[in-house]
Amino acid sequence: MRKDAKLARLRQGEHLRASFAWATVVQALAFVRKELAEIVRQPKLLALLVLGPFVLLLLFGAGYKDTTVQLRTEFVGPEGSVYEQAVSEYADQLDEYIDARGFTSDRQAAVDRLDAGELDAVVVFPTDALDQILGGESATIEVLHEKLDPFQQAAIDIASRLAVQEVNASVLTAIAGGTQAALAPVDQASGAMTEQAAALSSAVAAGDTDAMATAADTVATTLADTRLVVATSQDVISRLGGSAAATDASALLAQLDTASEQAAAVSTGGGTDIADQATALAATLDEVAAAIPQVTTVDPGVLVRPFEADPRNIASVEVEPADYFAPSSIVLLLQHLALTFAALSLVRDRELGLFELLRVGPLSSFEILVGKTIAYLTVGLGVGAALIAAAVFVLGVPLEGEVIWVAAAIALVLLASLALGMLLSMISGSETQAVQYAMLTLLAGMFFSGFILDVQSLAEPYRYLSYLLPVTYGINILQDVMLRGIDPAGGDLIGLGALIAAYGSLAVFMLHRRLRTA
Amino acid sequence: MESMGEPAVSGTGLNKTFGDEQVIRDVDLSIEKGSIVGLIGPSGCGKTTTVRLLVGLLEPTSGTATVWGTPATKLSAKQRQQIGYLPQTPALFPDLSLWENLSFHASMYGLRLRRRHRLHHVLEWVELDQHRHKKVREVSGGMQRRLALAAAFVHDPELVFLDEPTAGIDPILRSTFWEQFREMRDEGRTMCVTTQYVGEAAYCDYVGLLSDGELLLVDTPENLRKAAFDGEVVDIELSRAVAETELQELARVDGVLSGPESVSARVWRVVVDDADAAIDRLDDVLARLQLPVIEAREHVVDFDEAFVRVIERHRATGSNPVAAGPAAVAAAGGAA
Repeated sequence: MRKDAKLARLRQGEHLRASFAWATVVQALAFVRKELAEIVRQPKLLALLVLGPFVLLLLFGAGYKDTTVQLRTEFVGPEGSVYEQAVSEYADQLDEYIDARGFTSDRQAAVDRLDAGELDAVVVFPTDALDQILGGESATIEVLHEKLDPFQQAAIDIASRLAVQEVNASVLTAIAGGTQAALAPVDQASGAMTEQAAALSSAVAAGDTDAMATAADTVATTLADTRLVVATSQDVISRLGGSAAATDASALLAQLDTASEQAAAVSTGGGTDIADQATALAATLDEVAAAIPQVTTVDPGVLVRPFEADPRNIASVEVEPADYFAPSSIVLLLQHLALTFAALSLVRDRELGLFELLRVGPLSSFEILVGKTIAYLTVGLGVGAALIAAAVFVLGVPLEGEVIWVAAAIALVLLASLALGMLLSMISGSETQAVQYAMLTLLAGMFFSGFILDVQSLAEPYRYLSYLLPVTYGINILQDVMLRGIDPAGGDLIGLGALIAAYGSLAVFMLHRRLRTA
Repeated sequence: MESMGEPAVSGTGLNKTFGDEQVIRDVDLSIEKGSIVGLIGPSGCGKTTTVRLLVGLLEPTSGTATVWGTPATKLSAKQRQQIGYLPQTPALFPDLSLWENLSFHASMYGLRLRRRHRLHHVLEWVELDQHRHKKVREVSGGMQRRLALAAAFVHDPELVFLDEPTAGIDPILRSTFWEQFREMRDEGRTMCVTTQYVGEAAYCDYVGLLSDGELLLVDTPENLRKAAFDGEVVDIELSRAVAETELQELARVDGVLSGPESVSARVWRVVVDDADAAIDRLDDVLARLQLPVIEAREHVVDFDEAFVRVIERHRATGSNPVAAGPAAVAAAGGAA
């Protein structure tokens, strides 16, 4: 009797079956519960998932030195040369980038110290700079280093070019400064000319022709210097589009030319009417003196260095290096987490023999993948929320935009990564292979996603690899939302959506083939 | 699910080759609804491959396998929902409890979420309910096997394929399972079971005997016994040893098919068409010959002996004892 009751209960399954639509939900839930239970049963894994990335971020934030690395640099050039003096004069200006370790004439000794790792760079000044320049060639300043890091190489390259430009500018400034010494500042020339006009008039009044000629020589020099600066200024102003100012300068230049001709005539004795010519010169000088303040001229120092950079970040928030890397790191970690979970899960199921049951059973590949996706999405969202909260509240990473966009970005990145992971699991023969694929994708994420290098720095065909990675779009979105405080670009959202559709469809198709092809 | 008169499962001319090795040769098998067909045979004879062909896990190299008239590899989700399958290696999640594993299988087959009682009952059936909170990795292989068996039945399937369901299970529980298989059979369930325990053939309605990928016979267990000797067996026990020449006349007794042959010094064996009828005639002849007979009795051949004899004879001569197949099964008329 008891046995009959037991059997009767055993044969009641038909009445327990859910309706068709609900059965689909229940079947997908099979994997949701199973995957969640398996993860929750591993507290160490959970702790590693949440705490591991956070500790890494914390260490990076604390350890990153936001200072420019000073290069230990020794200078090489002829002993007692102008370079030695210049290095010591400009030491203060250089020390932001360069830790100057002295000046030597022994190039080989400096190179040996570079080889020995005692120096980061050796700057070698040319011994025959004047000959090269007079020979119509630029003189070369060598910068020797042994850096392997391409970023440091680029930094040294850029710093060298900037330093040489600075040297060139200094030379030109000195030349222009010579002119300035005679006349400068140009706006003071009007006073000098007024005085020289008065001297000329005195000489005319005294009938002293020698004094007139001497004064005319002085005037000629002043006029020539003034013309140089005004003409150069006119050229610069003209190149910069200052047409009105250039017109003014042209009129002044014409007056200067007239005055120069008059000064030459007086200076050479000019004939019987020298007194009249001197009087006319004095009058012209007064006019020039009066005109000079009306004309825009450029300081000689500015003429050789007309522009300087003044970079200013107009973003609404100041971003520290750790802030900048926090969103990228979170997205990269979430991609790796989701991808690894998905890739390993299906491979493990296959190795466990579950595929044999799945092939006999009623579950479709879509239901299987949806069930697993829901489980891992739940875990991923939890981990993502914990990481964002830790980044914002513990590390102080700014969150300028809408939280809902952050959540959406994380969800989309997780979905795309899960789809990619499941696709990889379809082509993995074992757990080891799945892990290798996950690691390769992580590496690809670091190189091609914009995590380290700007995506735009990649050549055209190779850049497309970036667009196949969920992390590329995720980094853009999180940086836009968290750091810039703007909504994500439509292209990034569409990109993630396209990856989800493409990878998801392929994964469903391949799993279907695996399950239904005998 | 299936039309009247159509077998639940049918395999016709099944061949399966892996690489250069042919593992299944011309297997014809038909399983009527409401019957238990047992596949027995030595290890590596093709039992599991045959089941995998019939359930649609493998595509035959040639021949066809159908379930309810549908090619086994093309079954719909609804048809699959009615099938239970126990693979040789149970697919269980080691970090989940017995309960969670069973619940996973229940969900996989779309059982509604209010199913606690069902899970309890199935676990009670395999005597694991008190262990339900243990993780799979914490229980013995036998318990895992029982759990896998429970999982195959959790959705109360119409048709069940069981690949060695009783391996590693103690004899008492094995016997219980078989009784319950038979009772479920009586409810109309259909089962295809492989087993290494030849004695379990007695529980089946039909037995398929496989050797080296060939199906040597498909018949009732009783006929399997007969097939081993090509008839029923009668043993004659004497009080003293006799020479074979003294028993020559027995070979000419009506109904005696072969023999006598010596089993021991004082026991001789003859094969007859009908033991009950033949024993009377043998007694008469033995009395006439004035031989010191203690008893002439039917020897009930056990399945192990029958199995070994059929297999050895097949390997020695290449002949099949009985030309059985779908027709033979159909002729037997379903469940015994």
